[in-house]
Amino acid sequence: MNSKRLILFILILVSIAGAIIFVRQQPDLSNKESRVQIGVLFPLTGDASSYGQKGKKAIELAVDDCNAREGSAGKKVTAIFEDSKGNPKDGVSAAQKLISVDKVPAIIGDALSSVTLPVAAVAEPNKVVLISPDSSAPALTHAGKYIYRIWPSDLVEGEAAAEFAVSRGFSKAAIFHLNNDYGNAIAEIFTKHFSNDGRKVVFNSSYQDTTTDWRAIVTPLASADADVVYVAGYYKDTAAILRTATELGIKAQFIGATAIEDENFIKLAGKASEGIVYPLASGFDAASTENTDSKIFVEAFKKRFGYDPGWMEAYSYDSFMLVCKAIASSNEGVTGTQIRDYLDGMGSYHGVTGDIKFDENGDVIRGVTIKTVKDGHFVPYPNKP
Amino acid sequence: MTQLLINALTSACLSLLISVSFWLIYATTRTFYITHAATITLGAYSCYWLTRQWGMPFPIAVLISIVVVATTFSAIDKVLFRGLRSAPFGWVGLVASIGLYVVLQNLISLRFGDETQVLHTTPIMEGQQIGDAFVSNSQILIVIISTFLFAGVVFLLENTKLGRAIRGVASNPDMCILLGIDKNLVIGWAIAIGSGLAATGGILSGLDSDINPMMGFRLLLNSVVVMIIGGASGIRCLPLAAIFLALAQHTTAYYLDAKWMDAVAFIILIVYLIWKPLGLGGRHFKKIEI
Amino acid sequence: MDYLLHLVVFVLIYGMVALSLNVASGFTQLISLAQAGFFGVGAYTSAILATQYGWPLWVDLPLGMMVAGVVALPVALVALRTVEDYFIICTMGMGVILFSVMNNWMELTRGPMGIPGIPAVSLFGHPLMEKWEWVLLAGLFYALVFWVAYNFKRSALGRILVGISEDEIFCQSLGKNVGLAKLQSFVLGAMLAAVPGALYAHYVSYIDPTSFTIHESIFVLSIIIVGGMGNLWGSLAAAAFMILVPEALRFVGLPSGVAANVRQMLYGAALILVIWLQQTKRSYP
Repeated sequence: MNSKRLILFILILVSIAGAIIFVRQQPDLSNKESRVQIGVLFPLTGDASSYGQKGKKAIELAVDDCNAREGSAGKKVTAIFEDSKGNPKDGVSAAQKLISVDKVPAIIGDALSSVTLPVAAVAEPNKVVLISPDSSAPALTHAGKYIYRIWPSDLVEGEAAAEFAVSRGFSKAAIFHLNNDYGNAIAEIFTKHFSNDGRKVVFNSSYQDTTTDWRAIVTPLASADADVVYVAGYYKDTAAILRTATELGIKAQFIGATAIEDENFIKLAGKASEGIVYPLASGFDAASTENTDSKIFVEAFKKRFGYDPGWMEAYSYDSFMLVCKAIASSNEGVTGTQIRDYLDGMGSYHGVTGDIKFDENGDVIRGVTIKTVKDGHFVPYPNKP
Repeated sequence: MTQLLINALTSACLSLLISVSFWLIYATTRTFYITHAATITLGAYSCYWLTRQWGMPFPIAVLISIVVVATTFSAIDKVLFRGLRSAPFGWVGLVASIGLYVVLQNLISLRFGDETQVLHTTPIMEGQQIGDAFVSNSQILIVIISTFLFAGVVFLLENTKLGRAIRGVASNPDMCILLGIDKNLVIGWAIAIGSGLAATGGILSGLDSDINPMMGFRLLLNSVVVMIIGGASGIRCLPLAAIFLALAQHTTAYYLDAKWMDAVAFIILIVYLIWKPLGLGGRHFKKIEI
Repeated sequence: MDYLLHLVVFVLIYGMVALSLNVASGFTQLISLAQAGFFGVGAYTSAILATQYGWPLWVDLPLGMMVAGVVALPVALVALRTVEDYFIICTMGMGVILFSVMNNWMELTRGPMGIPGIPAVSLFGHPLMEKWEWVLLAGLFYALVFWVAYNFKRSALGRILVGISEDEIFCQSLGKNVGLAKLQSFVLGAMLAAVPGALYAHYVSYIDPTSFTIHESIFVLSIIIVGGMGNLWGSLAAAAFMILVPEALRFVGLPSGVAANVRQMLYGAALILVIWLQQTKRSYP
């Protein structure tokens, strides 16, 4: 096959591929009912997939609940799921697809701040609302008029972690932080709140999420003589650090980030996870019966998926329902701007995670509880006497 | 400081094991067999699969994995690469091996996911204390098994008929035909042994730092550097090269920052190639000197 | 339609990278695995200048080319001392080092956090937001890069390179400065790779080091192998093939989670297949 024929052959293939794509692009005219499409961007695969898959389930439930409650107003919703794989590049790509191809007015996502931030830079100029169920990076506060999140900023989480360390009388802290927007932000906040009155951060090391040799990272800690260690990362890396530290005989109190409340963390870290303390934005507690909306949600979720929902499910659910309400309240067409206006003016929303009210930056205010791992379970930290 | 040395020793041993396994293939086929990275990963994952999915006891899973991987890659070589060996360009085998690596690594990702999985079945516990350092069980295992296997390969090469045939093919393949050595058979064996060793390395690494589909590539890059600076003409200098590289990397991690560890390996390689562009040992292979 | 245009832009961008690799190593058949690194240098230079200083594409693109050229010089000087497969390993190492710098030099590149918010390209005050505008822009640059590569191949220097691929020693015996030729082609190739790099940064508006790894270099290599090494016309067709066919799979119902892996598998398989086909019909002198 000489090169001319090869080129011809390739051109034919290209045309076929192009035709396929083009054909699939045509609107599905057989479905008469028009549905409002909401984009959902989560890490469905990759190291953060645990978070993403949980969020996805919650949103599936939310879609049905939304259609059941508000669908009679004539606007049914459907969710289009895209996989960010937990990395910013794929997240931005997927978001661009949702915006340009599916033309969604709003996107729920991402689970990771490091993805949410660059995605926000795409959503904002395109006037598409972005609501993150759990991104906590402080930078999101000023990411744009269309950017919202229902998880408090890290300013709260980092502070709570530092306060805990201070209240326990620790004076020499070591920090390991994941080298991304999330890890860097909470590490900085922790440092700021911990370092005064003679307390110091004696060791500060950053690591990449692609790290495989944890011993090289953790070994210098042994000679740092710290009494408390703050690990600002996700569950996979925190588990690896805990495991390595245990093997290296390091005995110190470990404080983790909210991201570790995930059963995979216990699986990966095993016994090394005992005793680690971490802050959790309060509002949702599957065992509590005070919030009736919460109770209904827990029961419905458990019935459909067979297990008790956790914070990721609850926050994802609320994020979607907010958009649902915004859509239902509109009399004309649904656009990002319309959803934004609704969210800005809605006052307080009572969701399964408690009361949600956005401030002028699209942030929420919430309290924080301290929790720990005991006997392989996540439990509230016993209150100080 | 002791801890640093212990960590470096462990890395060096693992690196040595993989380098030796890679050398066996490189020396006999004259190809930088990048697919080897997938061999390592496959060894770890098949062990994972056998223990998790089929509930096999660990040692049996290890043995089966090693044997299966060894035979599989030997077969793949016959089917795929033998026809490419007579190509005029030296890069043909390498590029094809890259292609095969990509296919295999993604197959693993598809089947098992991209997330890190845990291979070990024993609980995590504090290591044994030596001075002011701690050695974990997996580290001890790596050092012992790697040393043992390396010694085994040395013995094989010096004292057995197959070993001598391998060295023969490595030093002068054309001559071997005259001496009645079946080159293809020797290559087949070299690949089988090399792949088996690589699978072992993958399992050892997995026990120490968990498994993910990309684990092999990293280990391989390190080993390629070790092999090149250790001298691709024989395995004598490999232990030295492995220790040198491991020390350099771990010292960098300790005093500077762990994120530069990968770059250090290649900076060393580059410096070395500037100094000796044709590789250590003076003797070079088929390359023409310009 | 928009999505198809989006893909066409990508085809043109990667087509340019393929052309640059052909210039750098396709003519001489010295395979380089560092090209994604230079692509990245162009992208990062452009991104940093645009976000920090607000400079437009017309300024940051040529600057990107210059930076890439400057970076390529020491790389070439070192790598070209080695031969054949050692050269490949050396360039692989260079690629790893370039990636490490992009990933670890936080002060300059923000490391893994990447550079978000790269502004769109503005033509006489009118920002290019529409996909078809980008297709035109990318197409224009592709034509430019192609013109450079084509004339380069036909020039005296280009002919030396082709001669090197056939018999380097013979070329040298004819008095041609082989070393200089290889150096020039490598550096020029790196500079050309910076062009799509700058375009990529402005188009995607967010870049991070993961777009410029060895795996990307392997991808570009597979494009030129499928298209024919040194075959400039083949670069675009091969780029189209390697990008569009996996995308088509996405629409045939493959879940998005596996799409990326399947796409990569296709690259790997294409690589093996093409090498096999080329080898079995190649005639040896």
